[in-house]
Amino acid sequence: MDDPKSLLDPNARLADVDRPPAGRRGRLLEFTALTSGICVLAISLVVTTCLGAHAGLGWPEVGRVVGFHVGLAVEPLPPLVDALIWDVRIPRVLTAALVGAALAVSGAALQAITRNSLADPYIMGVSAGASTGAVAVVVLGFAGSQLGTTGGAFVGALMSVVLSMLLLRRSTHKAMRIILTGVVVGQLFSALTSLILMASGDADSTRALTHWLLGSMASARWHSVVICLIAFGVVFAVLWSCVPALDCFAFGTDTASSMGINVAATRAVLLISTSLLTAVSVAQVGVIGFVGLIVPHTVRLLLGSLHQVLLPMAAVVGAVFMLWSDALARVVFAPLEVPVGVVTALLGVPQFLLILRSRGER
Amino acid sequence: MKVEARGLSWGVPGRTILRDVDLTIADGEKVGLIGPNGSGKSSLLRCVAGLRAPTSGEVRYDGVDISRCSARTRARHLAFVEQTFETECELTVAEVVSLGRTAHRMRWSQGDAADEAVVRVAIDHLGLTGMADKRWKSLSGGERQRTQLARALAQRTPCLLLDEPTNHLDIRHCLDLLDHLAATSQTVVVSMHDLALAGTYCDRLVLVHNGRVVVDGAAEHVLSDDRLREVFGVEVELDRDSAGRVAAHYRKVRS
Repeated sequence: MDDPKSLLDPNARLADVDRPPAGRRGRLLEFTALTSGICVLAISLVVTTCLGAHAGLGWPEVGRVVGFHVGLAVEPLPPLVDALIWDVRIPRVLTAALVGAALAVSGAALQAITRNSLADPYIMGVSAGASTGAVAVVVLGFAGSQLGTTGGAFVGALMSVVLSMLLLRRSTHKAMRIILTGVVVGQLFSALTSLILMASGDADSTRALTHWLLGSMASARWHSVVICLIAFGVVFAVLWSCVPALDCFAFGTDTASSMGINVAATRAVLLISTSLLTAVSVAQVGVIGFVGLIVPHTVRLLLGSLHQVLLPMAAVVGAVFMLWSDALARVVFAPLEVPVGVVTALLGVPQFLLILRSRGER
Repeated sequence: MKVEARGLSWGVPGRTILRDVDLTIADGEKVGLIGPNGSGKSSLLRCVAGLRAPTSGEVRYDGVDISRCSARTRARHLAFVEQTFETECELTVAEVVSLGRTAHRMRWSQGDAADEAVVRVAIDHLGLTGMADKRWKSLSGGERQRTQLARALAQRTPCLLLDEPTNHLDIRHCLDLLDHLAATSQTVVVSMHDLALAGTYCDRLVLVHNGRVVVDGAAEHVLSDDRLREVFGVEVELDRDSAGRVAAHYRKVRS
């Protein structure tokens, strides 16, 4: 082709174009970031597994327990110690990583849909909705059924996300609107949760309230790992197939639509799948705030907002962030345990204020 | 690509914005939409682009009803550039322009060499060569506008719909853009406020007022029409030189 401009002519054929790709400097940076992120995640998994409230259960014991369970010829530890590590600590650490990844990618997707860097499952009240649904199911007597709790949480999460979107309508990108709407929706569902728990009136309700409203990994077991893993895998695949749409949403629905995105359908799919992911997390470990907000925000500042990079990177960073938040939660005041939601809030609120400030108020 | 709008009406609850608009645009024709603020130009462009479902009437591209096309098919036939972009994203210029290739890619695939070549040519063509790695939020208004125009050109569609694309552009980039539009084989519908530039570069002008097409015809015919004076409330005096360039002098009509 003589005139390079003719490439822009819709009648010119593109098939013969075979030029070396342009500078790939950016891709190298992203690849390095992702690889090192995965390494940090692997190290964090090992280290946080060895940290615990129980003195004398460090890496030698953890190594032996894991070795025994994967079939190596090591001498088993006493059953109580074995159970403590294999049935409690390891699933807890894995759940923390998965929930962190889940909340971070949910936040990234919600931020793309609303075009608002302050959107996240917690700020928008989705987590609160999920906890109301889960608590309602437990109180109505379907406790013990994982499917029931998760299903209830899903219904609650969907209700809150629909309510938020209805209240926001077309002004989702306005910072104050989204915060106020989220506060209102979140308060409504938190109040409902408290009401349901108080009405049920049994002795455990106060402890349960703390669990649902502040989040805790303490009750995570292997089934939590399995459920979180399946939900994360499925939803991440869905989000990955929507990567072009997530990028195009940055310029509003009209431009996204004119670039070939079926806006209404994609938005519905994304809202349903992020609600599902949030619901599964909440059903397992309660409401944990700010992860979905600060993790995607940090990744975006460092690596840009192309979602093919943002989504996997947010998942990795979210997992690492949650692993260490949970480790702090159980180690700092040992043997007392702080709800992990308290830790993420303490770490997250300052950054939330920074984002709010950097956006200016419009 | 021939574009036909028939009996187009559209509005928001409580207000009708477009009333029974007919517009036929021949393949490769350059049509300028002119009219005062709030006359319905943007709404008309959005309806023609298939982004708003008209309350009555229809839009056809080479005889095909646009409302029956998928978003993806639509994006392969027409590109649309909005007037304003109130967004603060971290995408770079090159990334924004390559979004224009979305409808040409398979769902899971990255762009191929041809995609990249198109993106690069579009960036060069809009004078953004040195800025490909700059982030969107650091761009000026004119640079943002040019980035979106490059994105629309990278879509390589037979039809281009542009809503006041010369906004924010300095005069040089404005003329570059209009030269491109005049020379391209694409069918172009563009809304503009500068009557002289509209008269110089468009084959045909359509004067829109209160959601209706008031005058539709060759540029000199429309610009010399008395109704132009009524609609804008100004006297327009036009000089056209031998090269077809139009200069306009305006004077407010006393009311």
